[in-house]
Amino acid sequence: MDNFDFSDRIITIIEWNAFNQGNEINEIQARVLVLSADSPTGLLNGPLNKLNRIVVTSVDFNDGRIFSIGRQIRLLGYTGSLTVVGDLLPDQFPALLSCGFDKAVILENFNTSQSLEIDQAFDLFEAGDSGTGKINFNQRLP
Amino acid sequence: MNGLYIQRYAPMLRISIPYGELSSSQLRMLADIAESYDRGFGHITTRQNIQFNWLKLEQVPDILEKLAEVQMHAIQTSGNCIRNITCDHLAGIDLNEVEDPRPWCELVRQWATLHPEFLYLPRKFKIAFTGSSTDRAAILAHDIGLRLLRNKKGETGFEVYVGGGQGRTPIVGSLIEPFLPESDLLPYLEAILRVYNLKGRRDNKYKARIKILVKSIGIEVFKSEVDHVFKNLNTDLLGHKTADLSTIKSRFKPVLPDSIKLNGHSLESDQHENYARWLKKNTLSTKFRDYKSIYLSLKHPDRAPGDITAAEMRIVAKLADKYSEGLIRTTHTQNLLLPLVHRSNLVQVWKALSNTNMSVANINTVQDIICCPGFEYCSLASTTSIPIAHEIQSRFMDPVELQALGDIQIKISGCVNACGHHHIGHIGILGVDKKGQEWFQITLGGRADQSLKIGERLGPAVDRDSIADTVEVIIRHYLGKRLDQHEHFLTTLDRIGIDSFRQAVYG
Ligand code: SF4
Repeated sequence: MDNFDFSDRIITIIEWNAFNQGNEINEIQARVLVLSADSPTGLLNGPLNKLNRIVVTSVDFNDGRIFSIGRQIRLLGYTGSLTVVGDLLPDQFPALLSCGFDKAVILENFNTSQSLEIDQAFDLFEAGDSGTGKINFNQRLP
Repeated sequence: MNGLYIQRYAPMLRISIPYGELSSSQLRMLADIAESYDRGFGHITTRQNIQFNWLKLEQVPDILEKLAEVQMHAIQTSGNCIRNITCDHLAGIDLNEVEDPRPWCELVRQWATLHPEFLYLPRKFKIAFTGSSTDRAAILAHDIGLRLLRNKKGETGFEVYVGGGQGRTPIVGSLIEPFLPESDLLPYLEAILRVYNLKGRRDNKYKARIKILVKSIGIEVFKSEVDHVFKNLNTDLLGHKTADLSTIKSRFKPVLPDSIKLNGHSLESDQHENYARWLKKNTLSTKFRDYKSIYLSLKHPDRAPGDITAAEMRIVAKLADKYSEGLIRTTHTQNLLLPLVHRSNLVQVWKALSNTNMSVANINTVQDIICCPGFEYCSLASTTSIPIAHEIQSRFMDPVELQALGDIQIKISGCVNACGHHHIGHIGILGVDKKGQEWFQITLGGRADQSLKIGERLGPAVDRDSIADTVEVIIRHYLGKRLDQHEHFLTTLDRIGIDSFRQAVYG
């Protein structure tokens, strides 16, 4: 994940709703929709692929709704950039990536190497079953 | 999610035992950990896991390293995520089973482990399986309960229950899907979890479990939301890549241990009675004619219910290696099980156990109490619970009387969080604090099986000094009123009514 710039104008919810009802967006071609975990799910019913980017804000890293929101947006066929902004933990990054986010806005002192380590560690976390002595940790990081 | 809790006196580490299945090498490692890092014992939980209660925080990384050597871990044994998948402890060996549910447990375990979407749910989430018409896994008291069944066409599927739970708001799970085709299991679970993750309350942790969501919007509305997500879900599931089911099933083919011929294992004349009692209470026929399951009791006044010492773990591991293909199971009732032992080796196993209290013939009796840690360990406790269990157990030490009493399930919780499942005990005991004093509320008539029921309050709480007496009065009243020794406690209660017990207790 990396930082993104805010060169695209953020579309307002009012504009987005109007757009979804068939009205054109003004000439600036606003292309960023900002959602929060509390946004009504109906907002996702519009033509998402007209947007360059969807930003989901996280006010509390414990609020796991953002994971399902990201997942839903991708399942609805959105192929543009999906960004998460706000209160996050390094060990949430691999899961955010899996749920469809491709960018995160993070604090300057945020330890991204830790999240990469976690991602790699759990890449090796392989399922098995205990009953037959098959292994759960196929390999472990040194 | 790391399984660590800071308890009253020390950090506690909960270690996952998927669907209660343990190998002898794993049990030996747990014994080593108990000895090297704890006070020489571990504690089997009602969700088939094991806990160590006296660890030093700085030693936990070493413990995790040791656990990893035997493919064990503590991931997702705490926190607001999908917890250990639990299962009928007689899975794969029960006479009345439709099919062995363990391959499905394993499939769901693989899917749920580090599932990226569901690691920060509103609250913890518990899933239980059974493949039998007799429910020994309390599936109706789980966030999702799954029962394997076969329809008229001979196809395998699941009866799916959602929103069951105990705690301060006990609710029996609602049927959301009477027959879910087996191939839809993971997508359907994903749909339920997504609706819960998006709609479950996050403003109040006491109202955050899925049971509250289902109750507040109603099962019909909840179902329609799940169905909507399910229909729009393509087969592209998240979660770890799961092995295909046939591969998993091949790992669960029963391996029947050979009979081991040994000399010198006949019974002495004074042993016959004890052995017969043990055979009746602690062993069980299986679907394999020549094999029985053996319960190893972890219930005795010498220990907290569910506790097992390192020495006992090693004895069990040795017996498992010799007689049950190295396999051991943990049960929801906080005991252990050797799943398949050849009938001709039962005497050897009994003799090997007879120097320990694990051979006490008390499975499903008043001594076989489910009990939470209470004041002894838990920082949330309102009262003690383990000493209450001991006092009750000590009143019924006579093995003949114990057998004569039949099956009575007593369950004790040290506070409203109900970790000791008091709501669904035939006799439930809940500890409450009243102005710094310990009091105990009693419920009667709860049950944890396929007819799961929340018990009814008997009357005013009784004080610490009277609780064991009161339970004894209830049991003796039942003894006096039952039609014959075959009439179960719950049948007598239904027949004579709770008022009769009220009269006996409160006069
Ligand atoms: S029921 Fe209460 S006292 Fe007992 S373990 Fe749970 S939280 Fe602790």
